[in-house]
Amino acid sequence: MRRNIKGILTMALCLVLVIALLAGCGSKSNGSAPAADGTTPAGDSAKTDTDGKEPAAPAASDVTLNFVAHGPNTMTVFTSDPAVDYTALINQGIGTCETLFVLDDDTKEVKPLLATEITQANDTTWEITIRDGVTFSNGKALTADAVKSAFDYILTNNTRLGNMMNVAEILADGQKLTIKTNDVVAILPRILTEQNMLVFDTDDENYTDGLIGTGPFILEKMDADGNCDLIRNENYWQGVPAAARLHTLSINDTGANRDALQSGEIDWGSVSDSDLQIFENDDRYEVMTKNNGRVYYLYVNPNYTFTQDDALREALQYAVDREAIVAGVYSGHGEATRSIFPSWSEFYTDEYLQPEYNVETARKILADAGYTDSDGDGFLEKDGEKVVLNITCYAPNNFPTLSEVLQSMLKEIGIDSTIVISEKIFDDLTSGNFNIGTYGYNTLTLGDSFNYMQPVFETDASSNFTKFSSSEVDAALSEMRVTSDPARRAELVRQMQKDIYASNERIYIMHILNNQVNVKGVQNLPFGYGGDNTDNSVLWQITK
Amino acid sequence: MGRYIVKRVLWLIPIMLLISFISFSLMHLSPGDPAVIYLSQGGQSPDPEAVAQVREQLGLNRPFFVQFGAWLANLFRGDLGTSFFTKKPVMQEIATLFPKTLALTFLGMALTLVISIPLGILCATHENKLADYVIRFFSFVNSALPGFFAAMLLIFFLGVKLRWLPTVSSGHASGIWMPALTLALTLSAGYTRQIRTAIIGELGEDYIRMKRARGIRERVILYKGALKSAMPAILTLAGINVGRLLGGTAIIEIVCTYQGIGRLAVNSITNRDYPMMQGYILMMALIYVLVNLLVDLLHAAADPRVRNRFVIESAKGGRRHGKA
Amino acid sequence: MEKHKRNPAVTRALIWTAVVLLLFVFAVLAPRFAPHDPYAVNLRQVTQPPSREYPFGTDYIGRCILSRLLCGAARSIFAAIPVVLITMVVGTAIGIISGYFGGTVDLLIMRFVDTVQAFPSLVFTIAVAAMLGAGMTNCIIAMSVIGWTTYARLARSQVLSLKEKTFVSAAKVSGMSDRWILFHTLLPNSISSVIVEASMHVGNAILSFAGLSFLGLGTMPPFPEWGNMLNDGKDTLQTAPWTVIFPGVAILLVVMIMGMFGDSINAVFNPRKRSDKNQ
Repeated sequence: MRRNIKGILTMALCLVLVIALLAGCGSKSNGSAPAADGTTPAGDSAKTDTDGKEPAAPAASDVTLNFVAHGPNTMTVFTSDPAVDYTALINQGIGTCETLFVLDDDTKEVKPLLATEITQANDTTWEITIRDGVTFSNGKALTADAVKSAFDYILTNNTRLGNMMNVAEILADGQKLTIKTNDVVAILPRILTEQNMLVFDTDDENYTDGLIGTGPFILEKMDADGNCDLIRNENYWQGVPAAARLHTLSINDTGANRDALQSGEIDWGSVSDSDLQIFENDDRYEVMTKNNGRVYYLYVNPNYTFTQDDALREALQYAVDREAIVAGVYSGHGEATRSIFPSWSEFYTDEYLQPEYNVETARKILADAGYTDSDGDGFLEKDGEKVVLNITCYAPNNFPTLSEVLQSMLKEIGIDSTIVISEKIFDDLTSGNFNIGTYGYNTLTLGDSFNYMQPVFETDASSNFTKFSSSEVDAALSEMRVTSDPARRAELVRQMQKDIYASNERIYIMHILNNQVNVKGVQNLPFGYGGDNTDNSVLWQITK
Repeated sequence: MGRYIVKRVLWLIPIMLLISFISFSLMHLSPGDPAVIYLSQGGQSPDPEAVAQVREQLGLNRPFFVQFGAWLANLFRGDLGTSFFTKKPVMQEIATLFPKTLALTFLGMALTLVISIPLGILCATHENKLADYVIRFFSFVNSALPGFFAAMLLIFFLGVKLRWLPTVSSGHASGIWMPALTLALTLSAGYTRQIRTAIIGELGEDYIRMKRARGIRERVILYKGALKSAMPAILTLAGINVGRLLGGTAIIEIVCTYQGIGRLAVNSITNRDYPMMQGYILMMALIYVLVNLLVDLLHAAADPRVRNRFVIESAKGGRRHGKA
Repeated sequence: MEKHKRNPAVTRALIWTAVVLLLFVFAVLAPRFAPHDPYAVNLRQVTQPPSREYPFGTDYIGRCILSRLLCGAARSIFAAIPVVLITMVVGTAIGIISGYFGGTVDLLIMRFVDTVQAFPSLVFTIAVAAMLGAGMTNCIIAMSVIGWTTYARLARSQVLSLKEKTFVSAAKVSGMSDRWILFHTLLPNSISSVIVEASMHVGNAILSFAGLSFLGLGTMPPFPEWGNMLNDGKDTLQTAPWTVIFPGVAILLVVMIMGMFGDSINAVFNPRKRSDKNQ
């Protein structure tokens, strides 16, 4: 009895292990995604079509593109449902869906894509002409009705876009789409280039595992992690796409991007600043970098402990060596700035800039304001109390390193500090319990500055963590809400910067250079692929 | 025997209740309003009205125990709630990714045995000779290697340098091998030593001496005698450890970009995706308890005084301090 | 003559104990040997390869890696000690009480132990550490929350076998108080296996810290800690391998020494089972 059962137990365990080994080997031959979801009917039929047409040279036109998950958080499980903010980027990134308009990569002007024209009939009414002859990948024609249906879904479920668009009603008539808003939405055409305002066929009911769109590629299969197999849309309205197949890998770590580029698993992707030199020094790769207006800056809090003192905040302005930070922390892949905006931007003005780095001035300001090192420990005291500042940062963007460097720069002017790495930066900065907070923000979202200026500088706005308040700035922002004239908008933004810099509540450090590394031979690759502010209208021409 | 089974199964009820309670409490002990977190997943700040609405929708305004009761009731219907992050049902996410981690742990364990059984035998037959010392030395080096570091090194050499295996496991058919090898690399050190001990123990037993006295060849004694007798203990240990490993592959999954449930769990912690976190912890605990019960029952059925008990006891009581 | 008679396992254990003590002394004294200020940032010479000036090279913001390793030794090695001590004391106490009183107390305690053991330990630790916020103390707490159960099981099984021994029943018969029996007979007699367990726990605790540091839950910068240094270096593995190799080797050496130490202690107390039951 005993021996028997023991034998059975042994046998059973052996069997399980053998099965495990076989399963491991098996997965090698029969594909990686057991998840039964994902294959859309359209994908299936399209696959057989292409396989029939292109028996010969699939390898040459096979392009693997890396898709970097977007957003502040690490994404594990993907969904293509546009109701989930930002995750819908995947639909554009893989080329299944398109927007009505796109931003030109260089000029940041609004360019037509699925729509041919937009006119402002009155303050709150916009008329859009939808392009003729465009079809969804399932063969349905693109009409204003289809666009309305998609927009209704997105604006109802995505509160961020719903608030931005502030739509009263959308009317569809043939190829003519009319959008009426409750208030003036001055930059509505720019919002229509936003990646989440995508056009998809709402009749296909599965939104989570790929959408039916008008794009150059058709999703064949998407696994739970967001890795996709795509084939080209032979009926694409701009022409037959150059690549027969695309494979996207979902990687959300720049280190993994580097490894995958080096091992030849992906054809392009972006890597960390310190890794960029590996590819710059290797002629098998091409490297592109670009300043897209994303800025790294500091909040200096006038409502918390020592930074309540204007003199201390002013001294901090002189204490930050921007050039050294760009070179040392970001391996030179950035442009130091004393302004919110990059110098080529229409919102930049050299009339108002933050002070240049000068340790002596900083020390002098502190000495004049009564800061002394009375106990000889190398750090300053004010009224007998040792000054210790709290630097709150979060893990991405190399901010912990930036904070360590800031700490050493503060030490130069005799200020001690501690670093807190926050897991929930938004909450921690909102609570106001910090002296210095690090932050990264795109100042030119949608090619316009309002989406930066409003949340960061309006009184009581969401990302105004220092409770900055200026009646001039508030008035200018109100005017921007209803002004669509680009020249006037730029003028308003330039004027706002006077009060902003005078408050010493922000220290702008640098604009980052986005990078993109690709294996030599990949052509017509749009820059910043899969990210913000990308012109995806050229995606169909990608080839290798 | 019947009574034993009934008793063990009945005890599951309070244990599962306690596990559910602790899992559920995690969300309420964590700082921050879940409704705000639910709404801030895009990195934007939610407006207060929406927060109030979500609080209502998620039932967060009800007393703690009412919420717990509702959660339990849903649990019995197989509903673990909706992920804050992907807005998909937690149960669905777990069901999709769990088999992946299961496959990884089984393959990892199988590779571990493939590596450590020959090495363990070699050590045992050369006890306190050069081969024994060399292998044991390397097994110490190996077990002193942090898991993520081992993964990084393997990715660099096998992936980037040699291009034998994909550096990114996700989305590749052969993706499972890199994390499985890493797992085997970190585990084989301990197993080699364990197998060495088991076989040395068996070789010292009387029945082996008798076989030797009868002039049976060493090789036959080793494979037909010692290894055969030690095998059930080794395999049981491996089986139990698979149960534990299911929750311990998280870091390797992250480094290898393997889309398993461990990576999901850690990301849900970073994202403060509480329903996902609770669901994961609860499901893993449930699996552990059930596997444990099964092993115990099988052993009780085999013999209350199973001779391998010490191994099993030590595996259960033993190293819970899983290295990361 | 006597020396030759001594059990070789004891000699080995004594040698390793001496090595561990030396390591501790080294960890305390190490900062004195640091050639540079471990906090001195120098953005003009980031990730410089090893040189005469910087024997182990410089890190991503130009700090001396050797100095940081030396100054971080105490933090990295001793962080494991409180975890081991807390879990050992709490676990042993619970185990002894459970085993000695038996009956309902034992049943309830052991079922609680079952419950705690059922949690996926790694993820649960990460969850608790993340909940409490990053930092060394919180990591120690998070690791202790689950770690004690091993000791509880171990101490309980020791007590169960000791209870049958004559000296315990003799003490009971002679009317000694529970407390006296617990402290004067059970504790001293079950402590050896607990110590074996603890000696093997130290190395693993150091590795767990490294794992938590890898996830960004460890020490806050700028304090040097080996796990953090290893984690910081992971992005420069290819461009500046010295940022990874030296902290990696440091952790490896210490954990190996701890492993050998635990192994040798185990060999003394459990001569038959030799080697270790440690996986």
